[in-house]
Amino acid sequence: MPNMMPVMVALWSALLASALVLLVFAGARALSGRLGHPPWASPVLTGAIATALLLAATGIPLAWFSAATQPLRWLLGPALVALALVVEANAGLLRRSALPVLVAVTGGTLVGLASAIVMARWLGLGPDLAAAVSTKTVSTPFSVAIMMKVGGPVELAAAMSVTTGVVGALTVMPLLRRLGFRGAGPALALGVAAHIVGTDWLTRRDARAGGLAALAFVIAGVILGLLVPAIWPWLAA
Amino acid sequence: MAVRKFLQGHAPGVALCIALAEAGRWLAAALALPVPGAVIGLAAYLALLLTLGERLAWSRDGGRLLLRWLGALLVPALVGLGARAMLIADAALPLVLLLVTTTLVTAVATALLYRLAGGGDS
Repeated sequence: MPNMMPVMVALWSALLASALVLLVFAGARALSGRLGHPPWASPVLTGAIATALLLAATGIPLAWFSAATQPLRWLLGPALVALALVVEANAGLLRRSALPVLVAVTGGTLVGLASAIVMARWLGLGPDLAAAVSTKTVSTPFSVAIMMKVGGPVELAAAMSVTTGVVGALTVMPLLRRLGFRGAGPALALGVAAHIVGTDWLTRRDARAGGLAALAFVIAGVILGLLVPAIWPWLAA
Repeated sequence: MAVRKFLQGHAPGVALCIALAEAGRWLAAALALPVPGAVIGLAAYLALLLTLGERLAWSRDGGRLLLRWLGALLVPALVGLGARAMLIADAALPLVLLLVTTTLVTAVATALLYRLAGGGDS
């Protein structure tokens, strides 16, 4: 009979680590709610910081945690599939103004990609950071999926996407209002530029505009999901 | 009883999303497509939702459960960043400059293109 001990240990490790992450995230989400859901208190960001501090305080090695949370990382794929529900919920909005929405989101996403690549080279960022910022214009689940596909720096790309979301949620709307933009345009812009963090912030203030932002961040994710792996050899060179 | 009811309500939708993600991954590998498998799965689920409509209602609760906990699934990737902290600290200033500038440029370009393409305010 084969020794089942390593399998049992791996199973218990996965259960413990997953429970820890889910509990910490639930706490981070509750804290964000108490604070009125400000962009800087994004539960993903505060949850990650709290988990990292907990690991450091208890002396749990990062390598053990990374291995034990593989099931959670694997579930990211199915969760990304579920984003189809967001597009379906806003299909009416898309049908009514398909051309301007698709032109704006596609164009904005390409500008985001191009500007990040150009600035990374201009500022002399190293290859890992330059690769990571190429997916900053898309939401974290998409940037993680893209980096896992191409073998890029997953952790760095995730951090760039989350930070971009926070920066965008804090700055995009005030700038666009100052420039005289109103209505659907800024909502789409927030979805492309600040993805989930910005969309969450907007949805709590204006559900319809939040729907537009959600539509935008999913379309942007699909566009870069198709584009970045195709140009990856050039990006990573 | 409550656990059983929860599983009956959510498990079918979660299972469908898992099946579509894995099918997408298999298809991308088999055809050597340069696309994350989950993106193919997303497109397939959207096509199913738009064509089958309410006949796919049984999958919605499970899908929404995954979306509700999507943020938690991203935490492990960010925690792993601890090993690259020095890399980020060394390039902190250029990174902040890049993130702020490109985010604002992207937003203005999107809003401008929407207006130029004939999009209305409402």
